[in-house]
Amino acid sequence: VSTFLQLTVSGLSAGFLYALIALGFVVILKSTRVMNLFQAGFVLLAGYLAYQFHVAWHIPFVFTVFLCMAAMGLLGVVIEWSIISRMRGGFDSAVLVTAGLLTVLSPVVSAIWSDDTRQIDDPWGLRTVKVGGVVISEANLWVVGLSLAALAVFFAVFQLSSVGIAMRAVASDVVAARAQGIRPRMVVRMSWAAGGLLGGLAGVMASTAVGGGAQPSLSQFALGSLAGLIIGGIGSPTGAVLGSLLVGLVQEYAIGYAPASLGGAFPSALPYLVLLVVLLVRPTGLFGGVQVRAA
Amino acid sequence: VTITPLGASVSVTAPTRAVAPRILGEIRLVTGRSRHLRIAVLVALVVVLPLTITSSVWLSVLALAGISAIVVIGLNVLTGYAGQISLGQAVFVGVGSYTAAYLGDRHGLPMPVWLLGTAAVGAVVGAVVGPIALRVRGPYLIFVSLALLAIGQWVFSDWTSFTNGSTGEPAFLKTSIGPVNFAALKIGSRVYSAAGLCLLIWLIVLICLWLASNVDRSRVGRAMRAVRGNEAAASAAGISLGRTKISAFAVSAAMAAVAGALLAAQTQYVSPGSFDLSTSLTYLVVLMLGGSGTRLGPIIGALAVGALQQGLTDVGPSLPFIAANGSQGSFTVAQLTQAVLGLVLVGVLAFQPRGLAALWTVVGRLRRRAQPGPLRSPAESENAGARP
Repeated sequence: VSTFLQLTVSGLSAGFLYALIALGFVVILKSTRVMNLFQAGFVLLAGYLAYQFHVAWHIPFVFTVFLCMAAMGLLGVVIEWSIISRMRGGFDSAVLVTAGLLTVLSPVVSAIWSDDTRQIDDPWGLRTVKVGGVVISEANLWVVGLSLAALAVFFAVFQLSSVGIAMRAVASDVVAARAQGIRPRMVVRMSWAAGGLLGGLAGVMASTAVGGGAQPSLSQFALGSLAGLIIGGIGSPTGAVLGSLLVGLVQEYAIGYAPASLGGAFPSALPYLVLLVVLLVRPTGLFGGVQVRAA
Repeated sequence: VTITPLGASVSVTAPTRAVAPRILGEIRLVTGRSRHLRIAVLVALVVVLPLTITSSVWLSVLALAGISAIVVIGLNVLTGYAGQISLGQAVFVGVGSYTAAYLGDRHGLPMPVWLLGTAAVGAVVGAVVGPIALRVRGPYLIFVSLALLAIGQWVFSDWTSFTNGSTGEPAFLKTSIGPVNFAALKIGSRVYSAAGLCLLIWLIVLICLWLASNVDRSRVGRAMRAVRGNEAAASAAGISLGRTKISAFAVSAAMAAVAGALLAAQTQYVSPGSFDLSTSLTYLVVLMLGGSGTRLGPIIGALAVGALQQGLTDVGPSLPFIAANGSQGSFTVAQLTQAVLGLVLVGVLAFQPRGLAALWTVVGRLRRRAQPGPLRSPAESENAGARP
């Protein structure tokens, strides 16, 4: 039972991190309908920048977090301004452009920092809390707490503020939004900035808490959050969070309980198997959504 | 007021009826002859080029370009014609490689069997993936291809009894049809080995090109382009979205699998590492650089990307910031190549979305404008210019 609880705790912590990454995808998807695969690039680059700022340049960790977020937010705006806004090819080619940018980034990151894992000394403090036989590290608690805070901010902005309403308006109908005095370009740019900020935060957390160090596989990890996103339902941010938690849990249980005969790559393939089953049974995702359609 | 269809009113006018067949006949004859000429030149190049290249490095570049051309001709049917983006093409290639190794190496079956066998297995796998992909559209299809990649990696590396896991599977395949052995091709007194295999690959490129352009010309191809243009309108016009998309997936997966089989024959070894996301992205680079939705685009793109990769391998070590061991602060040649291919993809999509093949049509348009034929009305030349 205690193994089960332990797996549940680490699964939830991984799930919250997935949710944070998924939210970065959602915020750009919602207002621009571009599936930004470079979100994984934000996570990867922020992970390495956290190493560079905190370990190599001895910047206090709190500032490191903010610096990484700011840098990624800026990078998001630059990408939108320099490439995405100048494209005429539509959403599909925008997706491929973001994939292309990701292919450019990973070798550049490997060239700058080499392929070795860059350990970041535990900035969260190594203390652990013991609750009924289950060991919870403070890092996990931070991940859950910060993710919850970021999610709360996201929902507040997206549902209540005028910026959030403008984003949703642009997402549903650009022409109508413009008629209401909303400037779509500003809104799109802001959502790229928001995607970058979220990706930056997620990257720092992924490289310090869960994975242990900045490493090239961070982008793979980030793309893994897409499974939770679509399982929950693309149209619903709540669904994306719940789907991410589900994926985190399922993956941890698979690591703990799946028979060895299924092979070492099984836990990383499992979320995608769940994804395919969900798509076949309930194509709108478990919590509903738009944009997806039964054939 | 009755509305007469335009075509009907034209066909009853006597002078038009008399002139039209002659004009049409002449135009068709002209384009027909130039098309025959083009095909003849293409076939001649395919036969002559492998047998005249002596550099073994460039011969292998040509062979690998041919293999990626086959994959991309299939991808072109899926993405260029039917408008379905796939990042999962590498998985179909992998399925082909392992199937060929199983049929041709473990069971020692002859070439026609392993070649057609992989095509059939590939088509079945594509047709199985198709219905899942039907559930989502547009950019969301990326999810399904990423899922396909992850599951493919799992199957290739962990189904050890079939794939031999991460150690890899040897693939010594028989390459003869009847008396002709392509791996030891005898012409006169000379024996071509690598060149023979290259020739075989490019002959299959031609077959795939022929199949794809027939798909394009047929009812299925028109249905695919309609689906790409507007799914709702295509569906309203009586096109079955399911059948069209699934057949696009089946065709593209079958071609990718055949390419995988040839890859196994060329490298004589299959390992799971060669079928990942970056391989799939390379195929997309080839397609977009060559020109998505054009007939010769895949071949132009495959040759261009192959030459680019080899060029970087040759030139790379002498460039600054390049080191063989890939230590901190320097690129390896492989990393440089990946970054350059990514930049090419971004650049093409942002600045020349119709690819290199479009440059060809630009040249053709200029030539047509320079010498207007006697039978071509001004309106017709305008139309010819607007044609993609």
